[in-house]
Amino acid sequence: MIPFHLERVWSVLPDILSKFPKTLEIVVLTAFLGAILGAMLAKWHLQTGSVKYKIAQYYISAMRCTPPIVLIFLVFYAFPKLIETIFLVDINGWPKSIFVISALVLLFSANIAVTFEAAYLAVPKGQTEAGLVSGLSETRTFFRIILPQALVIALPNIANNLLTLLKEGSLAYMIGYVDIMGQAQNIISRNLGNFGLETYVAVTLVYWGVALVIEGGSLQLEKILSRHQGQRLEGQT
Amino acid sequence: MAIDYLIATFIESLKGVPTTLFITFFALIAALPLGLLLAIARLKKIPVLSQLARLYTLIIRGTPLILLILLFYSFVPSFLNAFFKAHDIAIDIFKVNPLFYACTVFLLVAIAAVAEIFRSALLAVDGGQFEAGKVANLSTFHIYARIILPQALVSSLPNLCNLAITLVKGTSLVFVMTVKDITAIAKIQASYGYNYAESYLVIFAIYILVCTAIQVVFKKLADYVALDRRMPLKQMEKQHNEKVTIEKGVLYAEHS
Repeated sequence: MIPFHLERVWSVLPDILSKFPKTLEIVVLTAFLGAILGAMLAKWHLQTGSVKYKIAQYYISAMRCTPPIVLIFLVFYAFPKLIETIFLVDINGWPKSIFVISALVLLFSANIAVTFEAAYLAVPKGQTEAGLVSGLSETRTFFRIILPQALVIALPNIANNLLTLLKEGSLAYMIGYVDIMGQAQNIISRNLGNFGLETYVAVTLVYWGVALVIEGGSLQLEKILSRHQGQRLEGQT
Repeated sequence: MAIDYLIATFIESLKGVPTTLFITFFALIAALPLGLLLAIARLKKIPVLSQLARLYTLIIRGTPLILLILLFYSFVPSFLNAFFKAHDIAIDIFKVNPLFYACTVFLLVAIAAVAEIFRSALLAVDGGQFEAGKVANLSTFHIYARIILPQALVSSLPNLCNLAITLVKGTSLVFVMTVKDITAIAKIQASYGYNYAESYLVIFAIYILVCTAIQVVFKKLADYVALDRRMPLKQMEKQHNEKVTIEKGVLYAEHS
């Protein structure tokens, strides 16, 4: 049998966990920025027939077809060149997290836009009409009536997208960003290529932990957010 | 940016397309029967198998693909080597084509995804179909093979298309296993003259082309298999809705 040292997994775990904030930084910032861009894209994609609709559609289908690693590399190598040609500013020295986050925002926004749009469409039109009839402004109707309902519908998919984002974020080590995955690679090279399996198992455990938290959190949130809905439905029937 | 370089890299990288497609479709097609078994195990709640299937899906879905590849590639060859040594089997494991490992990893990923897809597709088939089969005196096996499965397959086609695209995107990582797919070839091309930006731009385009082609193929397939009654009905409903829209205005059509 090949040697597997379980105690090795525990001993590298603290070292890997010390870079956990870096992973979290990528996920949180990307999720936040991507959600803003995604909401805009979803809004564009709802205006059927306009130029904005076409742009959103092409953007979403292009991003759906792009492997994350290709986009990360593309942003990392091509973006500085582009900036240098246009603005004559050298941004090669910028922190790597900026490149990772911008690449992942491009991907995440396309995915989340589809989720947002589906959730918006899943709320019956009658809700908007009812809001407008009772004298609420359009923005108020959206934020007070449509959004809370759409959010509950979208939650499982948002959690799913976050999980995908977390997994895509693990590719950041390929351009030299040191998150938990990058730290694992460092540890392996520090051991001259030994204990690869044990180190990867330790990283996997961390990812499973985060995945469980995201999944459990979304389930809890769904329960909390849909508690009024359940009562109202019971009252109706 | 040199146009010559872009064209040369484009042609060179196209040579990686067969590898990418081979891994994708090997994994997808081989995963169909295995995924179906897992899906049935979960739906029928077969005691041990059902929990194992659930655990398996969770593990595969919770692990980043790159980690799966690295774990697999650092574990399986040495494990097999030790195994063969212990049993005196004369196979030099380090001469096996890495494509073999790539196919296996993607098969593992595809099985988990296919199981989920089939589970939802089988749930989506109306329960009355099974009863109708029973009334027509078909055996349970026949009901599944002739009535339930064909319907489930048709309704799972869009999801399978999604899976194929996910797999194509995933194969961009096989270069860590030294398999020469699109990304690997482009990286090698780029490393001669540090033309990384141009290389990645080229494969960005290639991946979009490949995935668009896959989508078109699946669309054609869906049109082809959906030649039962459902299609015309749907179109009729759509036409009816459009007529109502024109007659009554948009607001009423939504509720009709």
